[in-house]
Amino acid sequence: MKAPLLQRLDLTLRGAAPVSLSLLIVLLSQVPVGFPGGVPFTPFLPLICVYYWTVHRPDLMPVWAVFLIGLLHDLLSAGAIGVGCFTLLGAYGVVATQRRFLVSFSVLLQWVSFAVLALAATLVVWLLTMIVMGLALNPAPLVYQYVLTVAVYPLLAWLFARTQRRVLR
Amino acid sequence: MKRREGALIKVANPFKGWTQRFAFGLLITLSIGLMLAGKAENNFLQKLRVGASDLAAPALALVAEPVATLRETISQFESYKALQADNARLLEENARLLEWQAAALALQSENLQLRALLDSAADPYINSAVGRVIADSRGAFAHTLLVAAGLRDGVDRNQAAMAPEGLAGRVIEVGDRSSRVLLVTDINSRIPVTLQSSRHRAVLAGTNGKRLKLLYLTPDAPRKLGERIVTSGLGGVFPPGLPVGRVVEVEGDVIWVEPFLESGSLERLRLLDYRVDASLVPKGFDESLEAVTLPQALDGAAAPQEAPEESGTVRP
Repeated sequence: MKAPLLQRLDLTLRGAAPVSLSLLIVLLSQVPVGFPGGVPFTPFLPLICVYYWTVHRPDLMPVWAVFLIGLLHDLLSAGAIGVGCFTLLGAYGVVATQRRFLVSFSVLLQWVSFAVLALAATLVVWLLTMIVMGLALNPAPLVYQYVLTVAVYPLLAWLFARTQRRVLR
Repeated sequence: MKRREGALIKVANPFKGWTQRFAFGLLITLSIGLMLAGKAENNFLQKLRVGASDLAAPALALVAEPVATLRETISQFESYKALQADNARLLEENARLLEWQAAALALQSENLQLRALLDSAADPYINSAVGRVIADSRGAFAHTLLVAAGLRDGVDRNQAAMAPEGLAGRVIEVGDRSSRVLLVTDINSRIPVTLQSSRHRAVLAGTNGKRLKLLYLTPDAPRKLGERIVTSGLGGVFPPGLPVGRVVEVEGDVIWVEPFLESGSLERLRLLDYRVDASLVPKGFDESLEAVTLPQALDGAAAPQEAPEESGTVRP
């Protein structure tokens, strides 16, 4: 038995919320914000998007969307193309296979798990970028990026949890 | 509760089907392919990147505008606090600058007279386009900005991007309505420069940090703290004499330069359309660049260069 057209459309649109929200966040994260004093604000936001939705609604974060998010990030951030895609896909693979444990964790423990994942992802991004660019890169800005990413996680997770409750139910 | 758990099990494993695993493997391979293509500096990837920037530009500009307004409002409030001190400092600075202005005007007229005496060629005409900075990717790996001005505003590759304080960088990619600027601080940035007082030439390299490194300076050049570094104009990419930075530290062979560019105030950039002679090279900047860098092209271009200059330029 098929649901009426409008209802199906409504469900599809709601189901597209995680991916479209993630793409929007990747786009908006490029807007020059910066702290006063000219310190740029550069957390690795796509990782938060992929982690949260893969843990909570993997059916709404398909693997091609992960690739797309990574590609958009690589293209807009002028990093080495493919590095973001690869890292996000790797993170997706790890999270998807460990999902059974992750979803049963408390919010705090999920945050800690994210911190571990982000550390690994940051290292992978660092190594791959150095290989692609053929340059030795100072890891100090990466430490800053890592700390920012982990610090921003609760805010985005809260936003996603609200979306999950309000839009997806 | 029971219903919830059922739903959880249903979505538990995204790797349950062969198609899913196949798609995962395929996309991982594609990512590696992209990295390899990027390493080979693939033309298609560059076009893809320019296309993505162009597509994102309107949306980014829409958001960048209110964000910039908000930031300006905040900094205005901050400046209120320091109003009195600022005012005193500016009054003093103004008095000093008026003296400098008098000196500069005197030098300018003397310079013009001397140039007329020597019959030296006029400096090339510099056109410029101003664009708002709409995306900032000063991350751990690259220091680039996206500016809301592109081909249709007369922006072209290799143009110099100027901040109010000094040189910001160079246009490396240009789309229809957006262009990407490689900042002087980027690790891939190399700028031919001159030490302003001693006129020694060198190359200024970015480090992805706040400071820049001076390379290939002749050993006998004086290493003076506070020395101003300006573009040399070698290579025909940048106009000569654009301020870039100041020497702040000399550690043996390594000379550190701090750029004048203040990263906090990067809101609008002026992109300079510098051509060796705009009236002679109407086709585009790349051609004019080739004419300067390739010796055989220079020989060919040198002959017709004389004629239009006589008839076209009005000498004072």
